[in-house]
Amino acid sequence: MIKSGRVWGAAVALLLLGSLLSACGGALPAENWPGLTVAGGVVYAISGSPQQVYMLDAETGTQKGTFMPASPTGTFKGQLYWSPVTVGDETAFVGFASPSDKFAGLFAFDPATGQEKWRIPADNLILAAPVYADGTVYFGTSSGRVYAVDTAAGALKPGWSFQAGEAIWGSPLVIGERLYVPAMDHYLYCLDTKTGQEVWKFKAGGSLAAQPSPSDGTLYQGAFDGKVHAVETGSGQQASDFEFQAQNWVWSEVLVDGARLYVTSLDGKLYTLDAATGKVLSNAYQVQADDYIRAAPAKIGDLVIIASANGQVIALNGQSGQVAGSPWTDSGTVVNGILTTPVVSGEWVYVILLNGKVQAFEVINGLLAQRWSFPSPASQ
Amino acid sequence: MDIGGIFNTVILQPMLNALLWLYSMLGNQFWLAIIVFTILIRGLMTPLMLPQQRAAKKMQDLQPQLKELQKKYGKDRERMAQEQMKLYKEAGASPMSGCLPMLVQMPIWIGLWQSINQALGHQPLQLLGLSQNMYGPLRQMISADVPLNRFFLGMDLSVEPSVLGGLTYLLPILVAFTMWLQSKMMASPAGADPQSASMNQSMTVMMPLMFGFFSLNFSTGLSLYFIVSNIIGIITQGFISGWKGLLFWKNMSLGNLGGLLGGPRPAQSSNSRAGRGETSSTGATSDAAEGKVGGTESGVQRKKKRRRKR
Repeated sequence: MIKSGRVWGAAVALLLLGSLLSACGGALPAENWPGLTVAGGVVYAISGSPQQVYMLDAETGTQKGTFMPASPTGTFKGQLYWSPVTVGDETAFVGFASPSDKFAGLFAFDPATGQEKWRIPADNLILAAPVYADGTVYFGTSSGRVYAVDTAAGALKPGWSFQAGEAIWGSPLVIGERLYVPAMDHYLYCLDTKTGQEVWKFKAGGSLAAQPSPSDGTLYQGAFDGKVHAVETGSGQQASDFEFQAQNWVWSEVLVDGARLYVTSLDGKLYTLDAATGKVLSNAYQVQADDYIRAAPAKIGDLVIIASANGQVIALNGQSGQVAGSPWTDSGTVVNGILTTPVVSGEWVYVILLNGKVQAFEVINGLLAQRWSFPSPASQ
Repeated sequence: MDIGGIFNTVILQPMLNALLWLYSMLGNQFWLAIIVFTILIRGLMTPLMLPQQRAAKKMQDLQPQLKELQKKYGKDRERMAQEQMKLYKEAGASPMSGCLPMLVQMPIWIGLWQSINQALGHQPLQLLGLSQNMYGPLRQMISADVPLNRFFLGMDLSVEPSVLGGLTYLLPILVAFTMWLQSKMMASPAGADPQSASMNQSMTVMMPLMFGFFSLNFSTGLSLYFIVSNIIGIITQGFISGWKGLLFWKNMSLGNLGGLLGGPRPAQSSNSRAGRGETSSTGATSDAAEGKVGGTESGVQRKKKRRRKR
């Protein structure tokens, strides 16, 4: 009897261990960094557990409302995926997915009340921020499909379709009647906004996971081959006299500031480049050895702000590249790291940590000063 | 450096980079990289695995002697245990010899699971991990191929069968089956030692079930590793202790199905097989523990009788 009890004890222990390990395998806390958007005096942050859209007053950090799609089955199970919020035409747009519920789509909601206006089902996760232009919102999915939605009707534009070869993790860019879509299949696609038909495509040496940055007829596009590619918007040809190579992937958007480009790379450096040639203008700023930079740089006044994966917010003088003041840092742990690009609005800089905590900084006497911090709702 | 950093440096990075190198050498086929990687890992683990497999053979060979001890000291459990230990020591066998390779393999499983997730990452944080864990020279070579080819027979190697559904549910079943078959080939014949019988029973049934359950909820690439690793284990064990254990269906009948699965089984058949020194199920040893090795009634029948007596 005792032996039989032991056997069953061991069996139950094994099953418990198995369940525990299986749970470890199935449910990571997050597989994408949280979105952060500031528009119309409101900060839109993806935060909390379960994640939802928090709307905060941009001056005080006071919570104004939340948005969470209604589930067809009552509650969502497993991991949730959100894109950053995009605001246009007095409507906020966000991609949301719950793979366990086989539920994914683009949601439009009222920024004042958090009430859902309409939803468009999608074939997969929407990880990059949708882009809004002239009554149409465009977004790509992890299946590589690009959608165009008429925001007034809350319906797909008839006859509009495009399919890339791999996932779309970078936001599209609209300039006039052209839509530029970076894709993980190494191509930057130029589409006709009216039909979705391909106008041209440019092939890079690696995946493209960031929105291209436009300047004077050129698109600057970082890639996983470690390069920044300068592509002519009209022809899709690479500018022959531009060349830049980092030591690791360039996953972030290029910051264009006149004749200068600021580029962050997963090699942990901020590069200042000549926009015409790609030549490095001053010594690159390097974060600590075990740290790296996914977030794109942001500019406020003369300061260039970078945020590192270990949670440091660093302000540098845009001309000299010298650090201005002490770096702001949370505890430096991975969960408090920053992978989302800081957002500049007026005299304020906002950052969101991987744990969903939002921090606001203000430029005072040419230095960054922290003004308030909105803790992750999960930690409250 | 914290424990996560040490794990990354010692386990994850070497495994991830080995897989990536194999991927680039094998025509950008990740499934092929996993199979070759498994063969290499099994090769490296031979000094650990071979003694375990030989020990299993020794345990099988000792069964007639253990049975004699059971007859002799069956009622004196303390003496029985002493004599068993003496016998094991003299023969150089250990009933616990299977634990060490199992423990050593655990970091490999975790490392491989993480390597597959990062190499074939279809979420941003996974690919970020890849970018930070690739060795310099490989980074240039592999970066141009990201996202890597993660498909095998139309199945995404980075996604769990529980998510993919359909025919991928066969993978956990195959993992459990090959592991069960391997365990059966290694298990001692039905017989004398009730303690090792209990342990064998757990190992033969619970471990395959547990790994089948794991495989359901981990990437299919990891299932591929388990299946290939188990097949290599079966082949190696076959060369060491013979191939009779593979003929599991020969013992199959409604009467002894419980025995095949590790549960109670008619005592006579177990006794006669053990006498011939054949490899068979571990389950019938519960009969031996009760000291009723010569009966013909099944464990279920005896349980019914006991209940009636109560």
